[in-house]
Amino acid sequence: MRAALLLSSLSAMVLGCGDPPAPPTGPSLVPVTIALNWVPEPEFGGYYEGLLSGIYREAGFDVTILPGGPDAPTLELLATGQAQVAIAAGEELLVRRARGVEAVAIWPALQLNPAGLMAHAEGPKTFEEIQGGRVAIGVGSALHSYLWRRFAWEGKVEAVPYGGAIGPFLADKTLIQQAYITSEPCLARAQGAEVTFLRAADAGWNPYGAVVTVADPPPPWAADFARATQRAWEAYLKDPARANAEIARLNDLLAPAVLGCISEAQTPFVTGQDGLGMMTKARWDATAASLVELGLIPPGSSADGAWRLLRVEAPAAPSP
Amino acid sequence: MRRALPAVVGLCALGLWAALSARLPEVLLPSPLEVARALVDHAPRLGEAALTTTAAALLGLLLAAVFGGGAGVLFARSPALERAFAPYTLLLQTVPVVAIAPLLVVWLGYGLKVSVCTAALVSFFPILTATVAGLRATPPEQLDLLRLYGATELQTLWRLRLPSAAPFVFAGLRSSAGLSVIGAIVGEFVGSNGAPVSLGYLVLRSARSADTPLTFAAIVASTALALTLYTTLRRLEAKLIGAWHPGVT
Amino acid sequence: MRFDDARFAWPSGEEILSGLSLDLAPGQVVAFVGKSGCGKSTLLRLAAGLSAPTGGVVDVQGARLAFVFQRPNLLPWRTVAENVALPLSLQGAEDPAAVAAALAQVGLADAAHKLPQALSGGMQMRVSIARALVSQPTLLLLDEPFSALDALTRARLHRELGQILDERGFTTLLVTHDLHEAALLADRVVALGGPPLRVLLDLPVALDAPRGRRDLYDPRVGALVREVRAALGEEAEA
Repeated sequence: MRAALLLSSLSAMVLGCGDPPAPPTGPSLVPVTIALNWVPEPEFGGYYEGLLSGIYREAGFDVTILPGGPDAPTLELLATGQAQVAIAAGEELLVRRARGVEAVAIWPALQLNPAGLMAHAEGPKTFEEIQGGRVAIGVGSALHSYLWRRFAWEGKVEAVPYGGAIGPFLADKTLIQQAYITSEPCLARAQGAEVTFLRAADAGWNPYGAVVTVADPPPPWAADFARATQRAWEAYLKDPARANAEIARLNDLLAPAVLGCISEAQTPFVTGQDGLGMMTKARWDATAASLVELGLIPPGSSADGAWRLLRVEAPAAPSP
Repeated sequence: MRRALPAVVGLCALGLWAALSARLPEVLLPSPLEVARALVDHAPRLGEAALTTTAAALLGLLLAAVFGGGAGVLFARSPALERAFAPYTLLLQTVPVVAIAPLLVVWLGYGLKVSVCTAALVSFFPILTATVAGLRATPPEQLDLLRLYGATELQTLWRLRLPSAAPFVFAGLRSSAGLSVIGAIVGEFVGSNGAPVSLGYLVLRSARSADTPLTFAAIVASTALALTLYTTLRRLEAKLIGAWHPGVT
Repeated sequence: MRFDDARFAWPSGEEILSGLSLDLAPGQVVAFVGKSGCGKSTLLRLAAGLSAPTGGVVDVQGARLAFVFQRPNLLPWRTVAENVALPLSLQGAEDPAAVAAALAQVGLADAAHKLPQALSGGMQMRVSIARALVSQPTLLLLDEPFSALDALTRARLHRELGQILDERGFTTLLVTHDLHEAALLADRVVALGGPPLRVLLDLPVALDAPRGRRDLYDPRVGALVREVRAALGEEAEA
């Protein structure tokens, strides 16, 4: 009896794990799946706002949001057709393009790079103050290579692997760790820690943080999608309540206080210095130059063709 | 007395844990009580997650049994085939599952399929080797008996080699049972985006936010899962072959 | 059946049979006695077709074979009845009545649904004999069938098997190292030496059926046993 019950629930799970039934689609709507590179959190607030407010639908898109996880291979999902839009880090896009992945950035969600280091409040306040000790970081990551090179930490500062858990940081007042403004500082504060966030952007590491990418060459709807995304993020920044409620529902492991903290902390990173939705050649070229210097892309590589500022190329969209 | 001994060991370990956790911050080692509270507080979520992980582990084990057992039959029949493929089956065992999990996400998409695959990958090898060993261990005089009465190759396989290999295959399945749970959880670390929620996903997310009691609760759940899988296999083994094969309780 | 200049050697070159010739009359029970390692088991395997001769002829003239092994050699996952039915079911000729008859013949009708491990060694051996009988063989091959049993059980099985052989009239090859067993069951005793295997002595047993333990005190049996022992003993000294 119990075995039968288990079996039936198992088969239910197997059947239930397939693709969710597609919602009814109007004849003119373009179905678009957005592959996130992490679980639903405020850093994706604009896309949820676009979905919930109907901004995407009005622009002609039937949007499905596909949450990701650690190491989410979103750019590869573009190639397999499992997603039409992928959220990826700017430097990741350049590295992947150098290896033959055909994707192009059409909108920057995070103007300022969200990465950095997190230290306890009694610890260092600037990168220059870090002259020893241990830093937990994705060993071998671009940020790791960049910081150690920039500040000549080799042989002075010990890099220990960061597996994604902030427990060791909380327990060790001297430990410094890699962090994203959209995550760890708020999680640590929720646990009662007082932390300083050192922006990688201030150290000169400033690739666009999370960019909206599509297949290269871009599909005909790409410009419409970029403009709709711009409007969706404007709406989210004005009032994040609805999207945040949806994110809280989808990701109930994220405490409401943490969610609110992230939503607030990320705002200056979204709007950045050039204004929402802006991408410049200077920024992309600087990122490409850093990556060449670090040996992550071949010498002579450039960011040309990796990005297109579609939102200003086309005539302004009628306001909703 | 023999039943009391494990309980005594368990209680001592629990006591040691409690004493240690009193001296350490909760983010490093939560007390048994905190873990119990997390188990209760998150019961529905843990239940759903455990069900997902159970499905992945069981389906993975099933796949491994079908393919490992099938390959075992082929290898036992043809040493040439074994020589040709054995190095590559070893590769299956040594390839780090964590490393290929993102590839599996690209090929298969998020969800159960990835963790079923990783569970199957880690379970495959023990079942394969056990099957080959079992099929090779058929007593020669029993093979003579079947030859004498003109049994075909297929009859020899079904009526003699497979039943007589069954205890070996079950031993292989049992050692794979625990592995399949680990394999599923590792797959979930990368291949689960929270829908459906799984034990691997819970471990990862709770560790990220330093919700250590929930991490431990998920670990307790996965241990319980592995134990249940093991004892269920034991029971199945006792039911199917216990009547004639000694050493099964 | 007959052996005509039959030869057998292992791939290593070790010669077990170097040209053995023997004729068996239909219905004759022949006991082969000899020291262990002389090659008499190989003789039986050749007759059964489990090994092929490397030279010469082993001709069983289309006989239906049955083999009783040194150990009961039952499949532990099959019940007694299923074990007995094995030769029939492998041929696709299930015959529950024949299985029941064979079990009744060895006195195990009640144990049909037990698993082998629930039976004593003697009972298991009887199952093994029933399995040999069920296929209605015309040539019965027995490889030291009672060597692993205690003396009492062995005596009882000698009596039972003797009866069966008298009734059914199989051509029978019995390999044994028990001279009394040979005298009780066989019409002809062949003493073997080797390897390579050769015939030391080939004697008829002139006793009337039915035979029993009493016959062990018959002076003819005593003479036979002494003669065979002498032949085997000389072999040891040679």
